[in-house]
Amino acid sequence: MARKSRTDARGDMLQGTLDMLILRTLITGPAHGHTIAHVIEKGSEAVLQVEHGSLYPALHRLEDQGLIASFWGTSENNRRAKYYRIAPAGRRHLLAERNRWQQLVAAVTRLLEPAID
Amino acid sequence: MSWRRYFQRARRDDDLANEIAHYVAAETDDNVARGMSHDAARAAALRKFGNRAAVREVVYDMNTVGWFDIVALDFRFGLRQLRLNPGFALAAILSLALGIGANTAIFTLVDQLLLRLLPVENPRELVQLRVDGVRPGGNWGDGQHTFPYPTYLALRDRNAVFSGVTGQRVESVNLLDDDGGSSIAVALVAGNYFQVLGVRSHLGRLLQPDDDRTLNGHPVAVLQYDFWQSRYQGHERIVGATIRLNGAPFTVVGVAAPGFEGTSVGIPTKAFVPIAVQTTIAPTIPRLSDERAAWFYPFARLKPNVTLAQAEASMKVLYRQRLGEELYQSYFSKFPEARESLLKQVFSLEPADRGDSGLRRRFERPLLILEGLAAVVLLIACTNIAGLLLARGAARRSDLAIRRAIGAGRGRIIGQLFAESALVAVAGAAAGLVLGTWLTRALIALLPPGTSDISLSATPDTRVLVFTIAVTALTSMLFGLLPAWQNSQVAPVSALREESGSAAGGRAHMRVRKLFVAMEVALSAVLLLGAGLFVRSLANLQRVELGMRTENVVTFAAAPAIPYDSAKRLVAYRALVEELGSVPGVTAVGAARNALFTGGRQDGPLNIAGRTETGEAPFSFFNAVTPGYFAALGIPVTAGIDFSWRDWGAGKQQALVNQALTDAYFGGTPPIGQMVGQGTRSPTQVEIVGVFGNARYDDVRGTVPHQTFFNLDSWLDRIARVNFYVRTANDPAQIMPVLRSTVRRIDPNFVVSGMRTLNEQVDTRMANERMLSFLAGGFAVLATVLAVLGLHGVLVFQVANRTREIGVRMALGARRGIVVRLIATEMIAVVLGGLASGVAIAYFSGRYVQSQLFGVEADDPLVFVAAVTALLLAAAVATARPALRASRIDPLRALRRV
Repeated sequence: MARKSRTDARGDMLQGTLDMLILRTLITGPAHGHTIAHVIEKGSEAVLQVEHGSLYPALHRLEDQGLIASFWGTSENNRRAKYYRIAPAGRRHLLAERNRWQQLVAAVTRLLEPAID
Repeated sequence: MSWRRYFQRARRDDDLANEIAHYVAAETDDNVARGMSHDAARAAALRKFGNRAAVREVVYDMNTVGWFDIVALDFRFGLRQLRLNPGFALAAILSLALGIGANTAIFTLVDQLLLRLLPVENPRELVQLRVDGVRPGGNWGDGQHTFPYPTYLALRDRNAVFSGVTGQRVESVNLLDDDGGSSIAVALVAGNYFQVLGVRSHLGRLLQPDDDRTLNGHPVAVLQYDFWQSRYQGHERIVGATIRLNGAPFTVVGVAAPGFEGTSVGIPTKAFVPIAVQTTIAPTIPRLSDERAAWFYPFARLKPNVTLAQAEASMKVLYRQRLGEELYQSYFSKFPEARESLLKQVFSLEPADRGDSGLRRRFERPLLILEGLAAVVLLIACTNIAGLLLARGAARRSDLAIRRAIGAGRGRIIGQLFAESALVAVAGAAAGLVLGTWLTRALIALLPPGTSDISLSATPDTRVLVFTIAVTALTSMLFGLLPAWQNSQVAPVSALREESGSAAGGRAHMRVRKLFVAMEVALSAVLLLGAGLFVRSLANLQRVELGMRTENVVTFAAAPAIPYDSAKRLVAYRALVEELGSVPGVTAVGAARNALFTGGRQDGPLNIAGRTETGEAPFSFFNAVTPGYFAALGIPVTAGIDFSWRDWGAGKQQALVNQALTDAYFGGTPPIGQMVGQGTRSPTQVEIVGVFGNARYDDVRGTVPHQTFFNLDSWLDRIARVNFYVRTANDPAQIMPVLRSTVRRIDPNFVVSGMRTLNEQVDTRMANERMLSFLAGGFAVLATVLAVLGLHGVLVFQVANRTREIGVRMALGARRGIVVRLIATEMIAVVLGGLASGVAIAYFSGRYVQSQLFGVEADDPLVFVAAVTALLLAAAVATARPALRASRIDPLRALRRV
């Protein structure tokens, strides 16, 4: 229990967001852990920092949920690397999550806007 | 939670480690590309990734089934704890094994002999007909359940309370088929036997009422299922085949349903034949039409809604009526004095749901006693385990307190203790199962070897096994968890702070344990006393003067498998006795009609010519023997002459009588030349030619019976098989095969059965005593060992608890003797209290075993003194070591210890 709360506290991202971002990254093709982290950080212009203590357990969980699949391959530097690939269930999940996310953002935005005026 | 993931977690962890290594390598590459040195690049990569071990732990946890891990850990921990205390583990497992093993073994036999119902339709409706009293005219059987066949027919046809009456008689019969000859148990059954029982056929047909219509007209046989399987390999073509029983051809018409072994429990019947063929199967028994010869065993099925009491009342009236008719039989005009004894007969009905069994009648009492003793053993085992576990719990008090103090939950602590108890219980149960099977086999081996085809299974009874395992497991669980539960009530701090043994809880604990030890001592005393009585009985029996030399004598029965007339027998028996006598290593041979020490005999009134004395009519046991019989058995002929081959077949009627008969009816003067006859008023045509020493006949017990032995050649028409007695110079076991082959060589028609030494035969008469003394002795020794272990355990614990106190006393000048006394006196009350109650229990339960004792009273002082002394000695041994250890305590070290 102690361990779990520690990793959760370190996560800089909103709960569930990391899963969504991982799935989004994999839409463009299979990638290994390093690439995924890199893409997320780059794509968010370094706003989002990927915590590795969360990334790998998240990958593990997604794989167990059948949203992604993994295979061992050779990386661009000729190293053995574990690649992840999005599964059909993952695509559906991503779509649903994205809609939910957009609704959430819209709702939160609506609530915040009057205060700025 | 997924079991697949659980069992893959090690591989998945390796994967993750590789994945992380790849990440670090890739990041290092990136950093180097940004211009960092390799070392700095790698350091930065590692920094960026963070705690690698933590990530692996998180994932590892995700793959773990938590409770299972804990349980596995607890069991591994329990195993380690048991390995650390092999003494405790051994004592606990031994106690359990003993309790479980002893009870299952005894109950397995109790169940088969005493409890199991016959595999027939509604067995509870079956009753057995019984008559107590003299059977004028003669009895062939147990003398309680035997009826003349015509009486059976009358009761069968005239009763109003039974839906069916049938009957049977089991005979040992020579079977001859393609596989050679052997002796098997065959039941002569009434035609309606299978219908009344409601047994179905497995193959072909069963016997029907039509099969006993014509005398000797239906030579058909039904085989028992297992016999058909083993002897004829379950071949279906057996139906219609011919087998020879006692030389006569029988057509096999069917096979009975599996599981049915006849109604004589313990002596499985191999084949069933109709009663109409009686003269072939049982030629020595009077004919079916004989109205006074009681040899048929009837039983009946109650009509629905008729109770046993109602049926008995109705049948008593009918039987009385029948007796009134019997008085007009010609027999009673010949022997009018027999009328009175006939009318004194008492008819009754007995439940027959478990079949008829001489074995059951014989072993019921000893088995029930053993069952009682086994229950005591179970009690001791449970007490012992309880004591051991309590001690262990107490010894762990501070250990448990520390665990609680550093955060162990109550559930985890109970789990750990539970796992340990469970391990002990499982090991004990396994050992008990092995012990139980072994004990049952030993028990069956202790039953008389004469009944070699007894079908008792050594497979432990499942219900008992479950029951005893449950009882012992419950005990071990209960007392294994009790300390955990107790300790979890106490705050760890106070438990840690408290001086061991000084708390009130410790004292209460000691009281319970002392009580347990006292109980164990009491129960051991009961077992020891019982064992003492049985061992003395056996010793007394073995010391009985048999009047003959039984060592180095082989005995066996032999009979021709095909009909032999008297002339052929005359030649064959002489040839057998003489040829066997010339086998190297054989010193003497004789044969007799009735075998010795089987419990069977022939007895009746002896008519002495010219005897005028009134009072008790002369009575004798009878037998017929060949020349050489007395020499083979080492029975001295003290006056007159022995039978001789010169007279064999000369038509003489001679007899030798024993000393007891001479003393009783001839004032001790050898009655050479006197004329006697067998039976009241029978013609006195037999001349007494000699007197032989007082030898035992049917049994080891009782007084030596009066005996009259005729020359066998004058009895040939009344003989089916004879029993040989062969005295050998050396070990009889080696000569047995030679004797067999010699018989086969002289006359291949003869079938040899029941070959054993005479000593083995004598031992069968002591089967009960042997079984009781062997088992009760074993139980008693083990129970005492357990009690001593318990006592020792309590003392060791006491000494450990009082180390500080003893140290103080010794520092203040107490001598070693005083310390020893201090420890010893504590146990004296416990042991004496236990002993006293044990002796009291044994004294008052003595009457339950009296019937099984020989030459010793249930309150035999010698046995009581011996048992008490043995227990006191055992207690002294158990006390000595801990007491001495206490006296060697070093005061300095004891005081320094906190």
